[in-house]
Amino acid sequence: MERAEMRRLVEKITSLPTLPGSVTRITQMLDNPDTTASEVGKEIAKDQVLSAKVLKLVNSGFYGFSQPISTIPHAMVLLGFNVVKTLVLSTSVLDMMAQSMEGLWQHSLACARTCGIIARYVDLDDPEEVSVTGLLHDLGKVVMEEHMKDVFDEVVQRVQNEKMLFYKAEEEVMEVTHANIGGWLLEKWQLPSQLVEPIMYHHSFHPSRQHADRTAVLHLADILVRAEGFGSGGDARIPVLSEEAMQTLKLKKDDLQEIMDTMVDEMRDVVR
Amino acid sequence: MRSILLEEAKPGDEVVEPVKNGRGMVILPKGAKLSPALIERMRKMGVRELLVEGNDPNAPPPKTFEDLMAELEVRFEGLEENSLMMEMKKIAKEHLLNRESR
Repeated sequence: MERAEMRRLVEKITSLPTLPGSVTRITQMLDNPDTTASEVGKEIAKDQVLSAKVLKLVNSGFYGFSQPISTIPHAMVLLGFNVVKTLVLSTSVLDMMAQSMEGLWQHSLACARTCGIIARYVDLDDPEEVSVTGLLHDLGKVVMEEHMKDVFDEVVQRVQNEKMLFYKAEEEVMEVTHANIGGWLLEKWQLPSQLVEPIMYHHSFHPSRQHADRTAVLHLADILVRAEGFGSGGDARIPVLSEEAMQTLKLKKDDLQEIMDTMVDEMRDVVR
Repeated sequence: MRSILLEEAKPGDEVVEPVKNGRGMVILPKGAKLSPALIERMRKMGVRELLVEGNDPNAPPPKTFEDLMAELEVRFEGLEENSLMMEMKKIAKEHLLNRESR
Protein backbone atom coordinates (compact mmCIF):
# COMPACT_ATOMS: atom_id res chain seq x y z
CA MET A 1 0.00 0.00 0.00
CA GLU A 2 1.37 3.40 -0.90
CA ARG A 3 1.56 6.42 1.34
CA ALA A 4 -1.13 8.43 -0.43
CA GLU A 5 -3.43 5.45 -0.49
CA MET A 6 -2.79 4.87 3.20
CA ARG A 7 -3.61 8.48 3.98
CA ARG A 8 -6.90 8.28 2.08
CA LEU A 9 -7.75 5.18 4.07
CA VAL A 10 -7.05 6.99 7.35
CA GLU A 11 -9.12 9.97 6.30
CA LYS A 12 -12.12 7.77 5.70
CA ILE A 13 -12.07 6.71 9.34
CA THR A 14 -14.71 8.70 11.14
CA SER A 15 -15.05 6.90 14.42
CA LEU A 16 -12.84 4.99 16.80
CA PRO A 17 -13.80 2.45 19.38
CA THR A 18 -13.71 3.61 22.96
CA LEU A 19 -12.79 1.67 26.06
CA PRO A 20 -16.07 0.82 27.77
CA GLY A 21 -14.83 0.80 31.38
CA SER A 22 -13.99 4.46 31.48
CA VAL A 23 -17.26 5.56 29.85
CA THR A 24 -19.26 3.77 32.54
CA ARG A 25 -17.14 5.31 35.28
CA ILE A 26 -17.40 8.80 33.81
CA THR A 27 -21.17 8.67 33.35
CA GLN A 28 -21.48 7.47 36.94
CA MET A 29 -19.31 10.36 38.11
CA LEU A 30 -21.39 12.82 36.10
CA ASP A 31 -24.54 11.48 37.74
CA ASN A 32 -23.15 12.40 41.17
CA PRO A 33 -23.78 16.08 41.98
CA ASP A 34 -20.74 16.17 44.28
CA THR A 35 -18.29 15.32 41.48
CA THR A 36 -16.01 18.21 40.51
CA ALA A 37 -15.08 19.21 36.96
CA SER A 38 -11.45 18.44 37.62
CA GLU A 39 -12.25 14.86 38.76
CA VAL A 40 -14.23 14.21 35.59
CA GLY A 41 -11.56 15.81 33.45
CA LYS A 42 -8.93 13.53 34.96
CA GLU A 43 -11.06 10.44 34.40
CA ILE A 44 -11.74 11.30 30.75
CA ALA A 45 -8.10 12.12 30.09
CA LYS A 46 -7.12 8.61 31.26
CA ASP A 47 -8.77 7.07 28.19
CA GLN A 48 -6.89 7.95 25.01
CA VAL A 49 -9.57 7.09 22.49
CA LEU A 50 -12.32 8.74 24.49
CA SER A 51 -10.35 11.94 25.11
CA ALA A 52 -9.51 12.17 21.40
CA LYS A 53 -13.19 11.73 20.59
CA VAL A 54 -14.26 14.36 23.08
CA LEU A 55 -11.64 16.80 21.75
CA LYS A 56 -12.68 16.04 18.18
CA LEU A 57 -16.26 16.86 19.03
CA VAL A 58 -15.52 20.08 20.89
CA ASN A 59 -13.34 21.18 17.99
CA SER A 60 -15.84 20.35 15.26
CA GLY A 61 -16.86 24.01 15.09
CA PHE A 62 -20.28 23.26 16.46
CA TYR A 63 -19.78 25.36 19.61
CA GLY A 64 -18.42 28.39 17.82
CA PHE A 65 -15.20 28.85 19.75
CA SER A 66 -12.63 30.66 17.66
CA GLN A 67 -9.69 28.99 19.40
CA PRO A 68 -9.30 25.22 19.25
CA ILE A 69 -9.74 23.44 22.59
CA SER A 70 -6.92 21.02 23.20
CA THR A 71 -7.34 19.64 26.74
CA ILE A 72 -10.22 18.02 28.63
CA PRO A 73 -10.04 20.36 31.68
CA HIS A 74 -10.21 23.32 29.30
CA ALA A 75 -13.21 21.73 27.60
CA MET A 76 -14.84 21.18 31.00
CA VAL A 77 -14.40 24.84 31.94
CA LEU A 78 -15.65 26.17 28.59
CA LEU A 79 -18.41 23.70 27.89
CA GLY A 80 -19.69 22.61 31.28
CA PHE A 81 -20.84 19.27 32.62
CA ASN A 82 -23.82 18.65 30.41
CA VAL A 83 -22.10 19.11 27.08
CA VAL A 84 -19.21 16.91 28.12
CA LYS A 85 -21.64 14.33 29.43
CA THR A 86 -23.41 14.28 26.05
CA LEU A 87 -20.11 13.80 24.29
CA VAL A 88 -19.15 10.96 26.57
CA LEU A 89 -22.50 9.26 26.06
CA SER A 90 -22.43 9.58 22.30
CA THR A 91 -19.04 7.92 22.13
CA SER A 92 -20.32 4.92 24.07
CA VAL A 93 -22.98 4.41 21.38
CA LEU A 94 -20.19 4.11 18.84
CA ASP A 95 -18.32 1.81 21.13
CA MET A 96 -16.95 -1.09 19.11
CA MET A 97 -15.33 -2.94 21.95
CA ALA A 98 -11.83 -3.10 20.50
CA GLN A 99 -9.22 -5.12 22.24
CA SER A 100 -6.29 -2.83 22.52
CA MET A 101 -2.70 -4.07 22.34
CA GLU A 102 -1.49 -5.44 25.65
CA GLY A 103 0.35 -2.86 27.73
CA LEU A 104 -0.34 0.02 25.34
CA TRP A 105 -2.61 1.71 27.84
CA GLN A 106 0.00 1.63 30.62
CA HIS A 107 2.62 2.81 28.14
CA SER A 108 0.45 5.75 27.05
CA LEU A 109 -0.50 6.73 30.58
CA ALA A 110 3.13 6.64 31.69
CA CYS A 111 4.08 8.63 28.61
CA ALA A 112 1.49 11.31 29.40
CA ARG A 113 2.76 11.68 32.94
CA THR A 114 6.37 11.73 31.80
CA CYS A 115 5.61 14.43 29.23
CA GLY A 116 4.22 16.52 32.10
CA ILE A 117 7.30 15.83 34.24
CA ILE A 118 9.72 16.83 31.44
CA ALA A 119 7.65 19.87 30.38
CA ARG A 120 7.80 21.16 33.97
CA TYR A 121 11.49 20.31 34.29
CA VAL A 122 12.39 22.38 31.24
CA ASP A 123 9.74 24.99 32.05
CA LEU A 124 7.55 24.72 28.94
CA ASP A 125 4.16 26.43 28.83
CA ASP A 126 1.03 24.41 29.45
CA PRO A 127 2.40 21.08 30.69
CA GLU A 128 -1.15 19.65 30.73
CA GLU A 129 -1.44 20.10 27.00
CA VAL A 130 1.96 18.50 26.48
CA SER A 131 0.73 15.55 28.56
CA VAL A 132 -2.18 15.07 26.18
CA THR A 133 0.26 14.39 23.35
CA GLY A 134 1.75 11.62 25.48
CA LEU A 135 -1.64 10.06 26.04
CA LEU A 136 -2.50 10.11 22.34
CA HIS A 137 0.90 9.50 20.75
CA ASP A 138 0.25 5.83 19.88
CA LEU A 139 -3.35 6.32 18.81
CA GLY A 140 -2.24 5.26 15.30
CA LYS A 141 -1.58 1.74 16.62
CA VAL A 142 -5.17 1.45 17.85
CA VAL A 143 -6.42 2.72 14.47
CA MET A 144 -4.29 0.21 12.58
CA GLU A 145 -5.43 -2.68 14.72
CA GLU A 146 -9.04 -1.70 14.22
CA HIS A 147 -9.09 -0.59 10.57
CA MET A 148 -6.06 -2.21 8.90
CA LYS A 149 -5.92 -5.59 10.56
CA ASP A 150 -3.94 -7.32 7.75
CA VAL A 151 -1.18 -4.73 7.74
CA PHE A 152 -1.18 -4.60 11.52
CA ASP A 153 -0.78 -8.38 11.83
CA GLU A 154 2.07 -8.34 9.33
CA VAL A 155 3.84 -5.64 11.35
CA VAL A 156 3.36 -7.55 14.60
CA GLN A 157 4.72 -10.72 12.97
CA ARG A 158 7.79 -8.91 11.76
CA VAL A 159 8.36 -7.24 15.14
CA GLN A 160 8.32 -10.66 16.80
CA ASN A 161 10.28 -12.64 14.22
CA GLU A 162 13.01 -10.12 13.67
CA LYS A 163 13.02 -8.55 17.14
CA MET A 164 12.75 -5.10 15.68
CA LEU A 165 11.23 -1.78 16.68
CA PHE A 166 7.53 -1.42 15.93
CA TYR A 167 7.93 1.75 13.85
CA LYS A 168 10.81 0.25 11.85
CA ALA A 169 8.65 -2.75 10.97
CA GLU A 170 5.85 -0.37 9.98
CA GLU A 171 8.18 1.52 7.67
CA GLU A 172 9.19 -1.74 6.02
CA VAL A 173 5.66 -3.05 5.63
CA MET A 174 3.73 0.10 4.73
CA GLU A 175 6.17 2.99 4.32
CA VAL A 176 4.39 5.02 6.99
CA THR A 177 4.18 4.60 10.78
CA HIS A 178 1.56 4.79 13.52
CA ALA A 179 2.91 8.30 14.14
CA ASN A 180 1.83 9.41 10.64
CA ILE A 181 -1.50 7.64 10.97
CA GLY A 182 -2.26 9.15 14.38
CA GLY A 183 -1.12 12.57 13.19
CA TRP A 184 -3.28 12.48 10.05
CA LEU A 185 -6.29 11.55 12.06
CA LEU A 186 -5.78 14.33 14.60
CA GLU A 187 -5.17 16.76 11.75
CA LYS A 188 -8.39 15.69 10.12
CA TRP A 189 -10.16 16.29 13.43
CA GLN A 190 -8.76 19.83 13.29
CA LEU A 191 -6.77 19.56 16.49
CA PRO A 192 -4.20 22.36 16.88
CA SER A 193 -0.72 21.87 15.46
CA GLN A 194 0.94 21.93 18.89
CA LEU A 195 -0.87 18.62 19.51
CA VAL A 196 -0.59 17.13 16.02
CA GLU A 197 3.07 17.88 15.34
CA PRO A 198 4.63 16.13 18.37
CA ILE A 199 2.56 13.01 17.68
CA MET A 200 3.31 13.03 13.95
CA TYR A 201 7.08 13.32 14.53
CA HIS A 202 7.76 11.56 17.82
CA HIS A 203 9.90 9.02 15.93
CA SER A 204 11.49 11.52 13.55
CA PHE A 205 12.56 14.56 15.54
CA HIS A 206 13.91 17.60 13.67
CA PRO A 207 14.91 20.83 15.47
CA SER A 208 13.62 23.16 12.75
CA ARG A 209 9.94 22.30 13.12
CA GLN A 210 7.57 24.80 14.67
CA HIS A 211 6.84 22.79 17.81
CA ALA A 212 10.28 21.23 18.13
CA ASP A 213 10.33 21.74 21.92
CA ARG A 214 7.12 19.79 22.50
CA THR A 215 8.10 17.15 19.96
CA ALA A 216 11.41 16.74 21.78
CA VAL A 217 9.57 16.29 25.08
CA LEU A 218 7.34 13.57 23.62
CA HIS A 219 10.25 11.86 21.85
CA LEU A 220 12.22 11.77 25.11
CA ALA A 221 9.21 10.72 27.21
CA ASP A 222 8.40 7.77 24.93
CA ILE A 223 12.00 6.53 25.17
CA LEU A 224 12.33 7.01 28.94
CA VAL A 225 9.04 5.17 29.54
CA ARG A 226 10.38 2.24 27.53
CA ALA A 227 13.73 2.40 29.35
CA GLU A 228 11.91 2.04 32.67
CA GLY A 229 9.64 -0.66 31.23
CA PHE A 230 6.22 0.90 31.94
CA GLY A 231 3.64 -0.99 29.87
CA SER A 232 4.52 -1.90 26.30
CA GLY A 233 4.59 -0.11 22.98
CA GLY A 234 4.30 -3.46 21.19
CA ASP A 235 7.99 -4.31 20.81
CA ALA A 236 10.91 -5.38 23.00
CA ARG A 237 13.41 -2.73 21.85
CA ILE A 238 14.06 0.94 22.55
CA PRO A 239 14.49 3.68 19.92
CA VAL A 240 17.70 5.71 20.01
CA LEU A 241 17.37 9.10 21.69
CA SER A 242 17.98 12.04 19.35
CA GLU A 243 20.86 14.19 20.57
CA GLU A 244 19.27 17.13 18.79
CA ALA A 245 16.12 16.63 20.87
CA MET A 246 18.25 16.82 24.02
CA GLN A 247 19.93 20.00 22.74
CA THR A 248 16.57 21.56 21.89
CA LEU A 249 15.51 21.07 25.51
CA LYS A 250 18.98 22.14 26.76
CA LEU A 251 19.30 18.84 28.58
CA LYS A 252 22.54 17.05 29.42
CA LYS A 253 23.26 13.45 30.28
CA ASP A 254 23.10 14.31 34.01
CA ASP A 255 19.52 15.56 33.69
CA LEU A 256 18.38 12.03 32.78
CA GLN A 257 19.01 10.89 36.34
CA GLU A 258 16.77 13.54 37.86
CA ILE A 259 13.96 13.07 35.33
CA MET A 260 13.99 9.28 35.59
CA ASP A 261 14.09 9.41 39.42
CA THR A 262 11.01 11.65 39.35
CA MET A 263 9.22 9.28 36.96
CA VAL A 264 9.77 6.23 39.13
CA ASP A 265 8.80 8.23 42.20
CA GLU A 266 5.53 9.52 40.73
CA MET A 267 4.43 6.38 38.91
CA ARG A 268 4.56 3.63 41.48
CA ASP A 269 1.00 2.69 40.51
CA VAL A 270 1.70 2.05 36.82
CA VAL A 271 2.09 -1.60 35.80
CA ARG A 272 5.45 -2.72 34.40
CA MET B 1 -10.24 -3.91 41.43
CA ARG B 2 -11.21 -4.42 37.79
CA SER B 3 -13.95 -3.37 35.43
CA ILE B 4 -15.94 -6.23 33.90
CA LEU B 5 -18.87 -6.62 31.55
CA LEU B 6 -22.03 -8.00 33.10
CA GLU B 7 -21.64 -11.13 30.92
CA GLU B 8 -18.35 -11.82 32.67
CA ALA B 9 -19.81 -11.47 36.17
CA LYS B 10 -19.80 -14.62 38.32
CA PRO B 11 -21.74 -15.44 41.51
CA GLY B 12 -19.51 -14.55 44.46
CA ASP B 13 -17.86 -11.54 42.78
CA GLU B 14 -17.76 -8.56 45.15
CA VAL B 15 -18.88 -5.15 43.87
CA VAL B 16 -16.31 -2.40 44.62
CA GLU B 17 -18.45 0.58 43.65
CA PRO B 18 -22.22 0.98 44.00
CA VAL B 19 -24.06 -0.15 40.85
CA LYS B 20 -26.58 2.46 39.70
CA ASN B 21 -29.42 2.43 37.23
CA GLY B 22 -29.83 4.95 34.41
CA ARG B 23 -31.41 7.50 36.77
CA GLY B 24 -28.51 7.31 39.20
CA MET B 25 -30.32 5.25 41.84
CA VAL B 26 -28.18 2.69 43.64
CA ILE B 27 -29.31 -0.85 42.79
CA LEU B 28 -26.46 -2.62 44.53
CA PRO B 29 -24.38 -1.14 47.36
CA LYS B 30 -20.60 -1.23 47.54
CA GLY B 31 -19.36 -4.53 48.95
CA ALA B 32 -22.37 -6.61 47.79
CA LYS B 33 -21.65 -10.18 46.66
CA LEU B 34 -23.24 -11.22 43.37
CA SER B 35 -25.72 -14.08 43.15
CA PRO B 36 -27.28 -15.58 39.99
CA ALA B 37 -30.52 -13.72 40.83
CA LEU B 38 -28.73 -10.37 41.24
CA ILE B 39 -26.88 -10.82 37.94
CA GLU B 40 -30.19 -11.57 36.19
CA ARG B 41 -31.81 -8.51 37.81
CA MET B 42 -29.00 -6.22 36.66
CA ARG B 43 -29.29 -7.63 33.15
CA LYS B 44 -32.98 -6.72 33.12
CA MET B 45 -32.17 -3.22 34.34
CA GLY B 46 -29.72 -2.71 31.48
CA VAL B 47 -26.50 -2.68 33.52
CA ARG B 48 -23.59 -3.42 31.20
CA GLU B 49 -20.51 -3.09 33.36
CA LEU B 50 -19.40 -3.15 36.96
CA LEU B 51 -16.30 -2.81 39.06
CA VAL B 52 -15.46 -5.90 41.08
CA GLU B 53 -12.80 -6.92 43.60
CA GLY B 54 -9.67 -8.80 42.61
CA ASN B 55 -7.45 -9.12 39.60
CA ASP B 56 -8.39 -10.46 36.20
CA PRO B 57 -7.84 -14.25 36.29
CA ASN B 58 -6.89 -14.07 32.59
CA ALA B 59 -4.32 -11.32 33.10
CA PRO B 60 -0.70 -12.36 32.61
CA PRO B 61 1.13 -13.02 35.91
CA PRO B 62 3.11 -10.05 37.23
CA LYS B 63 6.67 -9.91 35.91
CA THR B 64 9.45 -11.08 38.22
CA PHE B 65 12.62 -9.14 38.91
CA GLU B 66 14.50 -11.62 36.67
CA ASP B 67 12.01 -11.05 33.80
CA LEU B 68 12.42 -7.27 34.11
CA MET B 69 16.23 -7.49 34.15
CA ALA B 70 16.24 -9.79 31.10
CA GLU B 71 13.88 -7.45 29.24
CA LEU B 72 16.16 -4.52 30.04
CA GLU B 73 19.15 -6.34 28.48
CA VAL B 74 17.22 -7.18 25.29
CA ARG B 75 15.93 -3.64 25.00
CA PHE B 76 19.36 -2.03 24.93
CA GLU B 77 21.11 -4.74 22.89
CA GLY B 78 23.33 -3.28 20.18
CA LEU B 79 23.36 0.23 21.69
CA GLU B 80 26.57 -0.26 23.70
CA GLU B 81 28.43 2.46 21.77
CA ASN B 82 25.82 5.13 22.53
CA SER B 83 26.78 6.80 25.82
CA LEU B 84 23.42 8.53 26.27
CA MET B 85 21.53 5.26 25.88
CA MET B 86 23.96 3.45 28.19
CA GLU B 87 23.47 6.13 30.84
CA MET B 88 19.72 5.60 30.54
CA LYS B 89 20.14 1.85 30.88
CA LYS B 90 22.33 2.27 33.95
CA ILE B 91 19.72 4.45 35.67
CA ALA B 92 16.85 2.10 34.78
CA LYS B 93 18.87 -0.83 36.11
CA GLU B 94 19.55 0.98 39.40
CA HIS B 95 15.84 1.65 39.72
CA LEU B 96 15.04 -2.04 39.25
CA LEU B 97 17.67 -3.02 41.82
CA ASN B 98 16.34 -0.46 44.31
CA ARG B 99 12.82 -1.74 43.86
CA GLU B 100 13.93 -5.33 44.38
CA SER B 101 15.81 -4.50 47.58
CA ARG B 102 12.82 -2.75 49.14
